[in-house]
Amino acid sequence: MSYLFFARWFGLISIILAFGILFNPKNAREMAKGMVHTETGYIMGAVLPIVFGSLAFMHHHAFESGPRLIVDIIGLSMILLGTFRAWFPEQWKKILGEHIDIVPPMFALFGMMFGLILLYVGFISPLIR
Amino acid sequence: MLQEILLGNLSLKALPLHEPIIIAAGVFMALALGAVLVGITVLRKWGVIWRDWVCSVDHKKIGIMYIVLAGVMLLRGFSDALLMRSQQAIAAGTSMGYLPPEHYDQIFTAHGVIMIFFVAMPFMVGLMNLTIPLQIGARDVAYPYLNSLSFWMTFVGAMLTNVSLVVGSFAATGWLAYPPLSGIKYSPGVGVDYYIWALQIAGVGTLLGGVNFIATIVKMRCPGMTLMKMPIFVWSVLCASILICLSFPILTVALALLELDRLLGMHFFTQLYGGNMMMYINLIWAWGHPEVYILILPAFGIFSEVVATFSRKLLFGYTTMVYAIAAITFLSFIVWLHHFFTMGAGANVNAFFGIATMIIAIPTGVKVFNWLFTMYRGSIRLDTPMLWVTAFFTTFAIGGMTGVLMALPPVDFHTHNSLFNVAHFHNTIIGGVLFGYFAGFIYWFPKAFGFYLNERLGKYAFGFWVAGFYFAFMPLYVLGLQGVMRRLVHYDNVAYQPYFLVAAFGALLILIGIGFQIFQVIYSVIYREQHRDKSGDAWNGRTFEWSISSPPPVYNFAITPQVKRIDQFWFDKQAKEPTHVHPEKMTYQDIHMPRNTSAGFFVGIFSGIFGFAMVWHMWLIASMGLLGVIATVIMRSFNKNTDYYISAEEVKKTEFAHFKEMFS
Amino acid sequence: MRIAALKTKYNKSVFKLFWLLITVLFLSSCDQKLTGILNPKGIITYEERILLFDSVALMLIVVIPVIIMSFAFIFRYRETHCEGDYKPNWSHSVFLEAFWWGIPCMIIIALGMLTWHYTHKLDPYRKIDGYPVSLQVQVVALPWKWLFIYPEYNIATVNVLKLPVNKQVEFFLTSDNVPMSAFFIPQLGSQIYTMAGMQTKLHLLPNQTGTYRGLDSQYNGDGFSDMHFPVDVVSQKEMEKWVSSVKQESQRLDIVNYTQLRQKSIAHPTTVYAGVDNHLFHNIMHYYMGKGPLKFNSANNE
Repeated sequence: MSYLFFARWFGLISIILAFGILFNPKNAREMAKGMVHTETGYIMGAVLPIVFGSLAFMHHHAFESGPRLIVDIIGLSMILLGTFRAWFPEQWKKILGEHIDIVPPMFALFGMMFGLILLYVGFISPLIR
Repeated sequence: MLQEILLGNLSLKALPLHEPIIIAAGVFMALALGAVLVGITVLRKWGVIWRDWVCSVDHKKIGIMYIVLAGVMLLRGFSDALLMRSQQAIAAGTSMGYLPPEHYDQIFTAHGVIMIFFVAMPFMVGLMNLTIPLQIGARDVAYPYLNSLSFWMTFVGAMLTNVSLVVGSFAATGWLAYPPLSGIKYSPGVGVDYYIWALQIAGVGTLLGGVNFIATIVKMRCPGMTLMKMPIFVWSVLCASILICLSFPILTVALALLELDRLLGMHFFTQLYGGNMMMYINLIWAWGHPEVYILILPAFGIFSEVVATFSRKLLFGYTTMVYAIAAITFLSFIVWLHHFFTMGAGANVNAFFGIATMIIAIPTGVKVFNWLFTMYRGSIRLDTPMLWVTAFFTTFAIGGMTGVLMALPPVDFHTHNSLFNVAHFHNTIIGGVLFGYFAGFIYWFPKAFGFYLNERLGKYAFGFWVAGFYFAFMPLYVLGLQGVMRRLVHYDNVAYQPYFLVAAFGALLILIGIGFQIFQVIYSVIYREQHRDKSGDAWNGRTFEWSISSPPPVYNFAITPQVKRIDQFWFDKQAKEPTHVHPEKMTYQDIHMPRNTSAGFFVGIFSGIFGFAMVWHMWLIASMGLLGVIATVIMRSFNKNTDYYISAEEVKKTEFAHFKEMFS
Repeated sequence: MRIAALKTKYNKSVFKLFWLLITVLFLSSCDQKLTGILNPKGIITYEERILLFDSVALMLIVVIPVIIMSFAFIFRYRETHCEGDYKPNWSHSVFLEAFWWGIPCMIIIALGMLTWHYTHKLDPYRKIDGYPVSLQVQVVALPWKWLFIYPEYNIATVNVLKLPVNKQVEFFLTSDNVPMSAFFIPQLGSQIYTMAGMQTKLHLLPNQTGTYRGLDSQYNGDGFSDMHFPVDVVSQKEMEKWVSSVKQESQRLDIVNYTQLRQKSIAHPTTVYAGVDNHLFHNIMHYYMGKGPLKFNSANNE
């Protein structure tokens, strides 16, 4: 799959999930609080970013400026995030514990921002180039 | 011979008897003025007007007069806007519309000059005057007589601009009067002279006001109020005043050099003999950019006050807000070239100024987030001031975005001087400055007059203003990107006409909004007993102006308040501290107050005579005007009777009356 | 009560009008071609359009969350909707501040890098990479018309510009007897001011044949709205044919004709000249520097 395909696909997923959290804050908070104490939560939190991030980063050849770079950066940061969560679960648990209230809105916010960028890269950017 | 010395170039030819629209406007202005004068005479209020208002050095009254001036000039500036919108809606393809270019060019110039210098600036200075001494626990500003003088000079500048409509003509150069178009070769008439003298006089008034407020804020805060415990509005006014003091001299110099070119044939900005117009453009924008930050910073301050008060919550990140204001103040001085990227300064210079402009977006964005998170987990009351804040967030975000967009030189090469540019600055000025001042107007109106403005009418006005703004300016963004320029009196591509029609419709909606605002004021005055605020604390406020009566006594605070923390008044209320003690239990002292004086008014009048005479080359009268200014100032300096004391009993009586009213 | 009813009635008709206008706008713009930066026909405008869209996208990253949050927070935390999480004295969070200083900083750094790179690449004075300069045109802004001199062909035109497709054109610009103006062909490239006694430069490269619109973007007096001209981008063969047909004309742009031309006129008709006085462009500039052979009557003290 090309970087365009990934951008479109993942952009859509991000936006949909972000809006889901944004418009159901109570459910999101309860789910988050629930996930903090289960293994599924931690595994998903670590595995999913690594999977998606590596999918994004797979088409990286060289750091050339342009829309490809955005997908590369997003992919890299997701890989790094997932790696941090997989290798340092204690630290991650501590951060989650302290800031669990703000995690769902942050997730929604970043999901929205990432989703918008990726949708732009996937759909609009090819039109004007 | 005598006629030439006395009247200079002035003659009956100066009256525009062949232009029906101008005659109509002039007659309308004369009738309105006549009605006001007749009304005052019939109600026998000349004594009150003279003693209590014209000669007043009370910051509260001066503030009210500034805001009244701004409101009246808003009607004139907005009429210009309606004329422009209707002309452009009609003049598509082969149609030439109803305004000839000579007239249209004056209209857009007057629109810009009036809106910036005689609506936005007086509105801002009025709100500053009304509230700053109250918020810092002071009894007046540092220089009350200077305050009065500043107002009358601004008033005279506005009157010169109004007179230019019927006696002679106004500049037809755009609101910044670039040479060589504003030089004597391409603008041989009196218009640019009117422009120069009106702005010089008003500019001196503003500069003195800036000095006044820096002195007030730095030296007259009540005990315990360190700089980091001031209300945020005071910080924003302090920084705006610093901007005024540093930038208005640049305007004075630029206009003075232009006048030397026109009057004495010098060659600062001419095309021949070594002049260089690029110098004027640099100077005028080195003033012009700080000017727009002067306008927006107090609006930001008002938003901080309104958001905190109506969310019933502490302002988020006070320290960061202060640093953001300071950063914006500093940065506003190093971005001026972004107004003329297309003048060919070269890539390095353009890129520097472009990047500097973008950097200002960071502290501005920080402030927006701080406001949002002040609302987060607050308890928000959606009264009209808060509604204006709601509209501000979206509108200013879009306006700021288009601004950063134009800060990219390659993009600016397309949008410079286009309708995209026009839409951007109206977006930020209306969405940021005007919405902020409207919020402040409704917020502090009960404090100034003792009764609320009618909520329902306020909401209607808000609705029409916001809807009107979007209809009027969103089409302009699209047109700008399609390559339609500003200041066009007609255009040949009929495909653009639908957009202009929508924009004209938006202007009509704004007209209805203004109508509702006027109606709101009239209605609230007539039914003021139903809207009374007896407590002085109209909105359950957080800062000291809400701890005294509405309207405040002339001395503001009977006992100067003490400050231990930010929002002291609010926390005293929360801790159920007695914020109002029975006057019998208090010991008052005599209060030292400045005496009213007519000197400010006369300095203003004489400078007006000077300005008008300079426009028409009436040298004798001009020197008389100048001598009059100097004489008044000197006479005033010999006046030893400039203060008086209010006795402690008087104070106790006033306080007792307010106390009784509050708890009746 | 009456006012409330009136407002609802107004609201309904305002809304209907709104949708009608939107439809009209949409329909009217659908079968019209877009002009300006949205429809580039030259390489410079093409690059600038990419920059425009990319910058808007970068900024929407912050702007859209701000707009959504402003409505979400006001809706969620209004006092009639009290949910017991009112925290009146919470006003500090290093975690959150780090975000909204950090993310805008990163976006501005990205925009700043774009700015530096593209301001240099798309500088009007810079020759366009990869293409030789095939044609030079001298542009003089006159009261309320444009004079174009082709020094290599020794012809001149007023209010019409013909350019060859896919060839880089280098412009040298000045103005005469008119206040500061600005030369702008939106679909081809950037605008640049033209000032008396000074020379500015511009490089354009049209890459599609057609007729486009050129104009003056800087207000310079009563004839400003009519100071526009058609730009014909044609093939090289067409260009050469046109040049030889112009050379058949009888009029030359000599000092007499030029003195007449530089007088004020609005909506001047298209004119062509079969020959141009030597060094006319430079002489026009030098007049303002107080040098050169040209002498004009200056009625007012310039």
